[in-house]
Amino acid sequence: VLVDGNRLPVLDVRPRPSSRGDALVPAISAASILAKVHRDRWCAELHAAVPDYGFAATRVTARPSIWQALARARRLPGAPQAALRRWRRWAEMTRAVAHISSRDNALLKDLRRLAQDHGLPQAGPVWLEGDHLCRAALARGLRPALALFSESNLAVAPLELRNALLKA
Amino acid sequence: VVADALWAGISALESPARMGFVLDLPRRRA
Repeated sequence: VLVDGNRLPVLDVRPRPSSRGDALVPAISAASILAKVHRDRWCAELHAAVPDYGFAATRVTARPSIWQALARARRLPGAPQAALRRWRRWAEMTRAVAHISSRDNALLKDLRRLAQDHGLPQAGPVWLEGDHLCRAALARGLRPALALFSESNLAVAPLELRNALLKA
Repeated sequence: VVADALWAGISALESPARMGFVLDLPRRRA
């Protein structure tokens, strides 16, 4: 899948970033117009029913008020539920995954320190590595604060583990 | 998602599944 920009979503197939793809790749330009027109219809429908949440804004995923409202009430009373389900799915899919490609990335530096700390912490962040440990954590109902994958492993990792990226 | 070339900086394991979680352990009440 060709993706506009360099922030890749989690998909069942391997995404390939395309910088300025919406301007340079005709398939991305066309898909972008279709998707936005489609999305704007549900947003208009939601905005007409519950005007206080800012659904009419174009950069809705960046608006914390909507996420906070949805976290408080999974079903906004009065909102058309089919449109709300589509919106939620779209917002989750487009919530981009960070891509670390610089050795000097601050998060990467913290992770190096954390991964090399072999003590058993009483509280605070702890690094679990490998699919066995991560699966065991999910099976016990633990939710990771952060899920990390190497680039080549992301496409082949089981969906159950990749979904942790969205839920983290 | 971490670029392949940088993964070795995080992990010394030869694990085929190059992935991991950060868990935030809650502080136990005294």
